Amino acid sequence: MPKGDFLGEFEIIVLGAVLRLGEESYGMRVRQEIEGRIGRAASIGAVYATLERLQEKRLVAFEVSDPRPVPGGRARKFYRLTTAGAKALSRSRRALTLMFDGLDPEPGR
Amino acid sequence: MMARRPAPPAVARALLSALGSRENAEFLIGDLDEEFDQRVETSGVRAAKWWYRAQVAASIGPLVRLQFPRATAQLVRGLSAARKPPMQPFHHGLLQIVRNARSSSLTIGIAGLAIGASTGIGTIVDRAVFRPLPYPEAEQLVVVYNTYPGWRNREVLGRFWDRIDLSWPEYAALRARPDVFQSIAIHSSGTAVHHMPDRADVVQTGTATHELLRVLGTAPALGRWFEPDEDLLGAAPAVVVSHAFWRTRLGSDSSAVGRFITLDGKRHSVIGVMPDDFSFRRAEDAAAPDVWLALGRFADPDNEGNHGFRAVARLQDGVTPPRALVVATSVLRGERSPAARGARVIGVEEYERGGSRHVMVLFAVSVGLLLLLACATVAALQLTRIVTRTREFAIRRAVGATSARLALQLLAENVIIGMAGGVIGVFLAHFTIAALVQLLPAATPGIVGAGVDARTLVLTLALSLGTAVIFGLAPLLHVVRSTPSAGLGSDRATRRSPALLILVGVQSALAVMLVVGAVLLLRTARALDAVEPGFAVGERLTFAVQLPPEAYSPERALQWHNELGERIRTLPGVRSVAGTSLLPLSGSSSSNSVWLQSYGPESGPKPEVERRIVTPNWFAVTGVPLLSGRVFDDADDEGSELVMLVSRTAAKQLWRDRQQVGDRVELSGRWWRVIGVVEDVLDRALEAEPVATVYVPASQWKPLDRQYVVHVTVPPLQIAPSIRSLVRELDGSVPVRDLRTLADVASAASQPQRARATIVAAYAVIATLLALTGLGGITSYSVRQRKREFAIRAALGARGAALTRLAMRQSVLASLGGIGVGLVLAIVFAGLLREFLFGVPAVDPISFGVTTVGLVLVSLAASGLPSLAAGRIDPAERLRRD
Repeated sequence: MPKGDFLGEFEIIVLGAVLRLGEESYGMRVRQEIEGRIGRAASIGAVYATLERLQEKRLVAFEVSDPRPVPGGRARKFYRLTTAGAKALSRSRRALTLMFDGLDPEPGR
Repeated sequence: MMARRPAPPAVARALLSALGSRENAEFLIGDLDEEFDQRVETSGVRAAKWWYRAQVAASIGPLVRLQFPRATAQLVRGLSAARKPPMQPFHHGLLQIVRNARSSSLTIGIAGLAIGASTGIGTIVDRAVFRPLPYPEAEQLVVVYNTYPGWRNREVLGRFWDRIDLSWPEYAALRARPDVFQSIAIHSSGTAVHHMPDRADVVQTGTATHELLRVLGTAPALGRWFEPDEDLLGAAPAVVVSHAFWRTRLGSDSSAVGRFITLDGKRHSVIGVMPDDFSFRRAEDAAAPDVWLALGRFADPDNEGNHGFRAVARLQDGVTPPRALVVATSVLRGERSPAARGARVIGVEEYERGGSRHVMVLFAVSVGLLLLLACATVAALQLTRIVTRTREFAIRRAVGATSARLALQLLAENVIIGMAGGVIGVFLAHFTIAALVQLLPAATPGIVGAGVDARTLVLTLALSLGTAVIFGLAPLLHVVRSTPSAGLGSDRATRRSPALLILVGVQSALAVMLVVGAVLLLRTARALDAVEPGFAVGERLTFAVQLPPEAYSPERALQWHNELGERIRTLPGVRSVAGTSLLPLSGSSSSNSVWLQSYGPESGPKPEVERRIVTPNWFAVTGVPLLSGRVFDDADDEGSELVMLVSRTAAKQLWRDRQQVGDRVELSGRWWRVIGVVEDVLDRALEAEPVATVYVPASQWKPLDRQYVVHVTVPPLQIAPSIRSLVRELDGSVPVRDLRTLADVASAASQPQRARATIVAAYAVIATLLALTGLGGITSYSVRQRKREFAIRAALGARGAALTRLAMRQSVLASLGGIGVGLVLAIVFAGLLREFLFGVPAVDPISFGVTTVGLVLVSLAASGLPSLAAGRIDPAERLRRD
């Protein structure tokens, strides 16, 4: 399989967050999910840059919502996995699972 | 005023906006702002702002790599190109700076501090004085006033004599001269209650005729301005909102035009949104209107007596302001005599900016002095280093380097230092501007929205390069002029550079000027704080309520206010409650003309007094003493004789030696009996004289509006929520205005003076530190250069103390000389400050004395400490080394 079909680490994390958040999946929530769930510092710029690259690779698609009906309400950009994105994520997950099958990088901890 | 949400840091936000891609920048910023708002709630504004900045900083790398993948790779390759010949002087310069990291950091720090302070003030001064007004062909825009020359000598109204607004018929008369006034509009300002589903808020309103935008040459960002048929009595209520209002209260809705908002209980249709930079208002208003209404709906076009409209006009092509003045005078004067009526035409530039010009000059001069001082300090430090590098330059010359090449390297070093200082300066400028915005009065022109912008950055760049050149001159000249063989051989450069001593003198002189200025302004602020305003300010809360005339008659209003007063009195922690029509030190005036029965039949001009409508216990609650007679009591109501109290100054000015109590005064068409005299209270400003004031009971005048003062036994703001809910209980559509402590009211009165003093004092402190640094550095260098000489003297028997004194002598003498010159220059500088001083003369012996003593001591310490090394030289060790 070509090397380019596999995702980078941060791309996997971002896709995972998008998958987990479902319909609530916009920039700020993705960032917060990454920080909250796995404790990795993520800047909003890194999240958006990654989402943009993933979108160019057609692994995610987006939809812009209407402005929220509250004072100061704004439009949001919601992301979701495409079929290709779901496949790529599964592929990466399987690759990691196969590679680490039976291994413990830190035995005894 | 509208409640304001804390805003994210502007510089960081602008940076992120610039880096984000076109498709995503809006959402990126929106998401970050949303999380910022959340963090403000959970962690506070400060933490949220720092988090925001960290996010932006961390986002720079990923966003730049995304936007410019090729350029990023190129930059990495390009950095190594700096070693090639054309860039060599910079490469060398950078190496030198890095090698002398400690002294370079000091130099860069000084440059950064000076550039930051200068850029900060420079931005404020630019916005207040130089930046072009946001109107096309602004030189054709004028404001037209009536003048009443007969008022010039009048007590209360005298200060307004040349600033009387127009009546509607007068505006119509000027409009009938299109040969002079291409277009003319009138406007006014006020407040209204904006009703929202969950609360009611006070907003600033502007009312203007439909020509206003044509006069100014601007247009709304969305929708439109008023049409002539919307500018008439009885027209449907329509409103044009400000950009800020649209953003915060209409959610930046792109289809806001056509929506409705409720003002003062009436539905208004939104017909337009003004652009972001539109902040037109009357020059004396602190804030620009949140909403604009058509003036024609409220004004009676035939009312000749209401001179409440500010006229702004665009002159016809080819018409000059003097010509406009001639025409305006003849129109407004009509058949009256010149002594009774005239006109005044001023350019809109002067109108908006004239009042603050002197303060801006003061700041610009102060910061100019500071900048010169910083340049002198850096030049001195650079020069000391150059002289020790003479050997290095000599060797390089010997192997073929030309003077030009060496000079170029020095210039490159200075430019790098200047630019590095500039980078620090931009960050400091951000904080300087933020501090100045907090300190300066809100009505300072251009202060709203002041921040680091493109013009600021250009200013910083100019200052960075400028200071680099100026402080580089002395070292450069030294290098260019020295002979090739200087520095070679065993003859070390022990000459005492006169340039260094001159710089010491210059630094001291500049420091003296700034410190004298600061001490004078600080003494002014102290003097103002010591002024007794005449009423008690501690433990007192104030707020205001305005009842709408459509819903309240005078009788019902009196009942409402009395009921509120009663309810407040029952709150825990409240000692007493009183009310007035106008708080002291509010800066406003409410005056009437009066006539005394003891004057006889009415003849001649009527005296003017300030008039206040108060509750019976007003004087007890505010601690104003009664001098004779009695104060109001509950028996003085609508059924009894009309009564009045007068202030000490009123008694003196109106009655002189005659008995006041018992006399009757005609006020506003009714006769009032004087029942007592009370002490004066400072109404206008702390530095002004008290004004003749009369007091009448609220129960007999029945005003709709009241300003309350609540005397409490707990921290005043603690009862604020209870007061708000009491008012809401009585009438949910009436907002509580201007709720604050009385101490804040009093201290606000002296805020501009304290701001000025603080700003100049900050500069003076920086100046003194710089002078200290320069003097210390130069003395230290001098001691190092003369070590051989001191060793010889020590070997011949000179004692440590004598050597120390010898080492200090030149620097101290240069410094004293500079202080002397500085004192003379400070007299000139103090003259510039005269109009800002209170309670202290410009050439104040105490201020000058304190400055002299202080700076002499500082000079002695700054040169003494490094000189101690001279006294500790071990002669044997030193001479053995040579």
